[in-house]
Amino acid sequence: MAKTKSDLPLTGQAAKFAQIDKEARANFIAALFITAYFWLTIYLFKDSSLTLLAMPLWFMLSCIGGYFLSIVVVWFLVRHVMRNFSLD
Amino acid sequence: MQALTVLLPVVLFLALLLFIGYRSSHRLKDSRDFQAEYFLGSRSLSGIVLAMTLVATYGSVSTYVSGPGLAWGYGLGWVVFAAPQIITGFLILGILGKKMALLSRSTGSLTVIDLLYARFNSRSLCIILSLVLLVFFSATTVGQFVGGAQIFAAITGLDYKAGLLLFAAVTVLYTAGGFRAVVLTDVVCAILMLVGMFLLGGVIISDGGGLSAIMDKLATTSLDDSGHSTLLTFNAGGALPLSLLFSAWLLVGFCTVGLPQSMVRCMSYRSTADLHQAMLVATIVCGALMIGLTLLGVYARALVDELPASGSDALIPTLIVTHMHPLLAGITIIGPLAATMSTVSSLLIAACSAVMRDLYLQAAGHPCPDAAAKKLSKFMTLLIGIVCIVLALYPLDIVAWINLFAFGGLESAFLWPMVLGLFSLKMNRRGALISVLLGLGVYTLFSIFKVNLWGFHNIVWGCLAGFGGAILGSMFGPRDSVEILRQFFPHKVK
Repeated sequence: MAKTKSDLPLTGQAAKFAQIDKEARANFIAALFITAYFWLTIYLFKDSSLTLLAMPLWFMLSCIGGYFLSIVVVWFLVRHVMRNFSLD
Repeated sequence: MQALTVLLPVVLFLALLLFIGYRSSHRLKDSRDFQAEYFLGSRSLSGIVLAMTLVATYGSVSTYVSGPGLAWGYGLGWVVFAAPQIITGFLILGILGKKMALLSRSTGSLTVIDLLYARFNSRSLCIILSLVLLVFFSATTVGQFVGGAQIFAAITGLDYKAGLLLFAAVTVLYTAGGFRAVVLTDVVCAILMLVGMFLLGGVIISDGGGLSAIMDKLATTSLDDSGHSTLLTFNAGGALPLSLLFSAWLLVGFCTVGLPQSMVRCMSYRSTADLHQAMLVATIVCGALMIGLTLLGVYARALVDELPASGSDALIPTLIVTHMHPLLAGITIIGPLAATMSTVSSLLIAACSAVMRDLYLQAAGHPCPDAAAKKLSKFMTLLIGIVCIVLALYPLDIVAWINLFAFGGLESAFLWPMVLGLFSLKMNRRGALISVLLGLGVYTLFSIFKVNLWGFHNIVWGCLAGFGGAILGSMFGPRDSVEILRQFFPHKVK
């Protein structure tokens, strides 16, 4: 398999710091995305009388769904955005 | 007999923590760099340990007691208030983790304030932040001791002071073993916090007749004019204004990036792979604990019709006593005790580092030599710990009051100097100083005078004022030296 750019080791302080800035931005955007999802589901379903596992639908989607969403988002971040390099 | 059965698991737990502390303090003797080992565990934390210590430090006695107690009254709306903590587990690691790890190594920093001194080279900033940290951490420690001792007394039936002396002394003793003792005991504590939550959850759901029965009961409790239960609405039928629920996303969500006791953990792990693993594990554990425990408070409404006379904080202890077999109660009570102790140990060791590293440096003009640190560090940890125990035995109003707003105060003071200091070239010494003074000043004054603007929590104004101060100061202050900027921004400054 051909090596992509992200397979090459990251060396040199400048390259590492540029990558860190990118990762920090991605983490911030990820947190904003989770926040937006959370409030959107509350806004859309707060008056719905539907339930899921005996709990109100808005609650299952925002609080429980948001919890699982954040796990998936972090999995994506560490798998596809964040890179390994030496800390020294 | 009953008290003895309850006490047995607790005593075993305390003995285990002491053993870990003893083993870790043994390692200190062999370490080549005493202070790096005592204050940072020689930067050797694995991913799992990093995740567990972050969550255990963050989760405190209020997670276990005050949160569920309030959820009993507000219902699912209080879970909405606690929900921002689904981002708390990864955000600080993701934003500050790698930069703090790289820069603390290249500057030789062992504390958060060390690193801020390397960035801003400001004595006044360091002295102010060290004192802020010392005062807020001590007050929080006292508050945690009082909370933990109350639970201990309620469940074992033993005297409040006896309980306090027992578990507080154990905490202080093992903390004196250094950062490695703190983080390893944190792992044990985090696991037992989870165990306590699951045991408590099992009892509440089974005694409530199952989830459906509990929800049916809630649907007919605390009805509003139109016959709907306020417990099942997102804002407790209007009792929790939107502005407050939005504020929570700053207070226990985004602004937790500014908690110095979390920041220091960003300097203590081994490799980037460990950081990545920690982000995932911390998100899973933190969200589970914060949402899970709060939700249990909501479910408890189906079992407990009226709050105990001593208030909502007594809800969980009362449940444990009245619904659990003594042995199970003994294991479950370890949960809140572990939450208390893991928070306190991290604050104590950080308070000690503020004195031994940061205040020493500013007072003596040179860093504390290793030989002196070896003699004094344990003593300093014990001293601060003993002062906190005495203050918990003889409570002062002022300490209880500082404890109330320590969490937001720490965020207001530390957030912008660190985040902007690490990510913005324009942030300079004056910006950092004015940010601390304005952020903390506005937060404190608003708390003292109970200012309430449109229902927002004061953290919103403290955070905004700190940001404004950082921009204002940076605009008018001189740029930091090229050497510093080259070190902190090698990709931007040639």
